[in-house]
Amino acid sequence: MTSKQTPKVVALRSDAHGKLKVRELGTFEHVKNSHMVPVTAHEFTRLGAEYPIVFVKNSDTGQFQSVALLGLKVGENLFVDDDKWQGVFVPGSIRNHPFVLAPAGQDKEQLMVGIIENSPVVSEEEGNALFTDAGEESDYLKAKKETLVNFLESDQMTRAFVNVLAEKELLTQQSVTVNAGEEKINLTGLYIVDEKKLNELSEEEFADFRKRGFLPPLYAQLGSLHQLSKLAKMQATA
Amino acid sequence: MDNNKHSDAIKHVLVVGGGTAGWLSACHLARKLRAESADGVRVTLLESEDIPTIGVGEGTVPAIRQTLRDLGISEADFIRECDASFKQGIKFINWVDSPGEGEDHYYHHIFDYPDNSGGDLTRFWLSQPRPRTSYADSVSVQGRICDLGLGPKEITQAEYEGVASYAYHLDAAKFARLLTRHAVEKLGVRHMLANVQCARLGENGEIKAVVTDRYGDVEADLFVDCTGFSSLLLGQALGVPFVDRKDILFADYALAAQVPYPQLDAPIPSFTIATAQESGWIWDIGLPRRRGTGYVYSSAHTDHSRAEDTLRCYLGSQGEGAEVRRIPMKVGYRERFWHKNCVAIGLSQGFVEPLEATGILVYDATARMLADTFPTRAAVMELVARQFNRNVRYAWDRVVEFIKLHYCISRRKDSDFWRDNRESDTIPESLREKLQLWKFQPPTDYDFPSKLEVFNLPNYLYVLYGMEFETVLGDRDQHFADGPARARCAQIAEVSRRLMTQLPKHRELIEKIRRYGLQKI
Repeated sequence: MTSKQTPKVVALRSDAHGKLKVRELGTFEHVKNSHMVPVTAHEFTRLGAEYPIVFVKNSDTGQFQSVALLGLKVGENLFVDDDKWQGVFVPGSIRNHPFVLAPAGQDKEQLMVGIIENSPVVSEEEGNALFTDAGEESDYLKAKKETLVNFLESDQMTRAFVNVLAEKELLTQQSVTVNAGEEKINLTGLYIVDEKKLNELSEEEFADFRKRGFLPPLYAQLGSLHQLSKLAKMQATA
Repeated sequence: MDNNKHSDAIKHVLVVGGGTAGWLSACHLARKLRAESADGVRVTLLESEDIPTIGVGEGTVPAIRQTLRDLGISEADFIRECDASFKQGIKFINWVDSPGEGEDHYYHHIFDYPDNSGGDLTRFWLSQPRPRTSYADSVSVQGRICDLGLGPKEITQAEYEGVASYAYHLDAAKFARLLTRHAVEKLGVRHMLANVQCARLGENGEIKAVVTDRYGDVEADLFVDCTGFSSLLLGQALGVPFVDRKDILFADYALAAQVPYPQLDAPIPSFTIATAQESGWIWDIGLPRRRGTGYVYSSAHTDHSRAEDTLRCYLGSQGEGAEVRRIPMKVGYRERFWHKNCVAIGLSQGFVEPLEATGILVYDATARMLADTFPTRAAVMELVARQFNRNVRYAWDRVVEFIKLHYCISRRKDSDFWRDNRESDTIPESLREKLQLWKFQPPTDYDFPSKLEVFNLPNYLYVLYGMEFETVLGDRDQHFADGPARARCAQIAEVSRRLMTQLPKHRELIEKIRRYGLQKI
């Protein structure tokens, strides 16, 4: 598995998108085919209690990113049932819809606030206006942007965190076989924290991790793997 | 000085010369002998600030990946710092027939070994009617990957891993600098800058010290001569003679030039291009920002002025204003490579025209051999030296034969150079014998019995049948069961089609690696 880009994401600009409006999120239609979503390190603890959190390689850059698994098969999200979300907490990147972090220009590492132009909740007729008649950002957009900016900061800190793990060789490849009722499903391309290597860190490195706030997400990631059984059960009864 | 007064242990190795060979030797030795530890062997590299390196030498073979990995160098760092690109083999253009009005003839000598997992494909290919798919494309996917300008791996693959076997093109000067830094900072090599004026010999003819302009005498127990063609220690100080092989391989000069691409984002070929010419051949190596090219020619068959015209004609408008540098080449090897306590690695050891990137190949392999068989005590040195000399001589003779193969099975008759190359007294007897046999049956592993052949069965198959050598199968061989072989070839074609859609363009892959690096896993 590697990540795939959300379709038709564009960076938000008042000249191009001055007339757009966004309806409040009613359903989770837009993510019913997402078998995984990116999550920030700050969400690991909360989300790790419900979803397996793993690392995958970005297919464009080869770099690791953290994701929550929402399904065992590509294109299948086990948590969307009609309009309802079957879990307790909804991952931040989903709640932000239709706003996303989009690459700013050619450099895929620089991100800015963007919008999924072809989402059903985006139109020129219905919903909250993004820009005033004068071309200024509306209060709605300002509030959304603040959430996104916070998310962007968390995202950047998460990247730094994941890079440290990769550099210190604390990630290891994990092939997973899940028994979902009659079916045996193999998951490949997943990476997790290498618990053994984590325990072998020097006193200094470990103390450094503690100071930088790395310990809660690390252990949350390890603990979240038990949620694979939950996904198996959901798959079997789906 | 009485040797018995000193301990028998070898405590200090001095590498003289800091080009690719010098630093590879220092690195292999330092790692194996634990130079950074107090109870390891001390490894020092002494080089001149005034004497330039040869300045060419940019092609490698897949063994270099293992070396970089063993030395603890990250592939992404190497690619970034040495302006490296991927090399998947060599494309030989116009080696078979005299250039005519038709399209250029070419074949690939690729790194991936032919897939004989389901049975030998060579006999099947030989029995196919013409026109038939090229040998390389029948037995492997890599030729097609090269033709389509694709890289040998995906950005999501771990460092040093690929979909096909590969090596690199690199900037030689930058490679030496990377190895210097790595050797000094990570492997415990001591670095000295000075000029060697002469060597001080002992009673038994061994080298006691090199005399330098800055540090006076520098002593060591073992000296590694990496001083290039001048072979200051082995050749000059110890007088070991040079065995000239111009009787077999005629090229004795290289005319080198670096040229830009027509556009900044022009495709980078992911193979070395070797285009045959009237009196030799031209190499063309693509790095991300510029190409390294050169005409390798025989001065007995052409003159320098005509040679320069030939190179400039090849370069076309890209070559306008390019500085062309003439390098005389000593083609051959030393009579002995390890004499007393001095061993030569690099151009000081031997050299042939770079048709199959054998320079760095042999220097890396022999530096590794030196490190692996390093004598534990002085008393053992002579035995180790004799084994080293046997093995390295064998290696160079096989290299000379393999290069000669490219010439002696050519059908070109447009100049004396090509015709003279087929004279039987210029062809080593063992090669003549093998070719005689191969007219009737294809090569087998039995033709390459040693572990240290340098070039093995697959290499010979790619060149032999890339050059359309005629092996006429006997009646018995025409009737073997070809079902599995046919199926395997179809499968190879199928895998090629799939890979075509997955693999990135070569330049794109290099740019991504420079930006995002490569993961260790």
